[in-house]
Amino acid sequence: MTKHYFTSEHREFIKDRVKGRSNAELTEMFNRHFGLNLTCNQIKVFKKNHKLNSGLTGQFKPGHIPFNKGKKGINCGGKATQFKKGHAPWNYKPIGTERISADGYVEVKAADPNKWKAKHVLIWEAANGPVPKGHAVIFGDGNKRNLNPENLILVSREQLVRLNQKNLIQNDVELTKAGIIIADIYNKIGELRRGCKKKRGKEG
Amino acid sequence: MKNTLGDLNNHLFAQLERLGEEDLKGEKLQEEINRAKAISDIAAQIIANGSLVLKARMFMHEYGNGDHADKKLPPMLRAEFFRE
Repeated sequence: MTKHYFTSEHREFIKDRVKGRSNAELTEMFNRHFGLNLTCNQIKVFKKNHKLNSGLTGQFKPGHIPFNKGKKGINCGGKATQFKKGHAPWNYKPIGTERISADGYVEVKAADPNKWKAKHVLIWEAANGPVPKGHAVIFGDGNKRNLNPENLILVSREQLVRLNQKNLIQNDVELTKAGIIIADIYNKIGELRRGCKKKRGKEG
Repeated sequence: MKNTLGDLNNHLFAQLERLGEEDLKGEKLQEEINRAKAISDIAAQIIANGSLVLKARMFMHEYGNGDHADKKLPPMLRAEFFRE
């Protein structure tokens, strides 16, 4: 690249046409007009040195309409390898399928596409109606695979927290039921203690 | 051994009822709470023991050899918790 000296003629040419033109556009125009071979960068530096500005910011102005507005399904190829409509995934499971969850519970698929329900809850609900709010169904002998209705016990969350905290769930239904009464007593004690503290707080 | 799980349950229910009485106040209430705490702690131990005995039975059933199995068990586990 040889050194180029801008003449006053060149300067006037660029000054007249700089508004609203990109560097590349301006360079091409300049080279064609004068039969020269300047690079884009040379024009850019000339503009900078003479404090010329194209006024372009490269930003979208408010109210700009995107090129694909109102158009649908613009395809960029790859159509041959796309899934067709109604395609069923290879690992699709029909409703009623059973699986063992990561926590060890047996689950049954209840609805498409991905509603699974715990089997022990379903069995309990079939016998006793829906599980009330704030309650859980537990396994009396602590075995998550023992789905015998006799083995399923409904407990409230207040009882469950005490059962887990004090290790009261045993390996037999009757023992666990005794554990639930113990949990009730612990809860009652807590309730009474809180009552005491409140009274003391008011007096003091 | 005469005490069964049913007796334990009766004791626990009785305690729960005593706790629920509304005219308990001050010292009396504190006393009742302490008693309830003691009873429930012991009851928790009892059912844990029951679990252990049951587990021992299960292992005996699985690995034991008939009449001699009872003699091989350590004395602590010879309690017959579920006699009824």
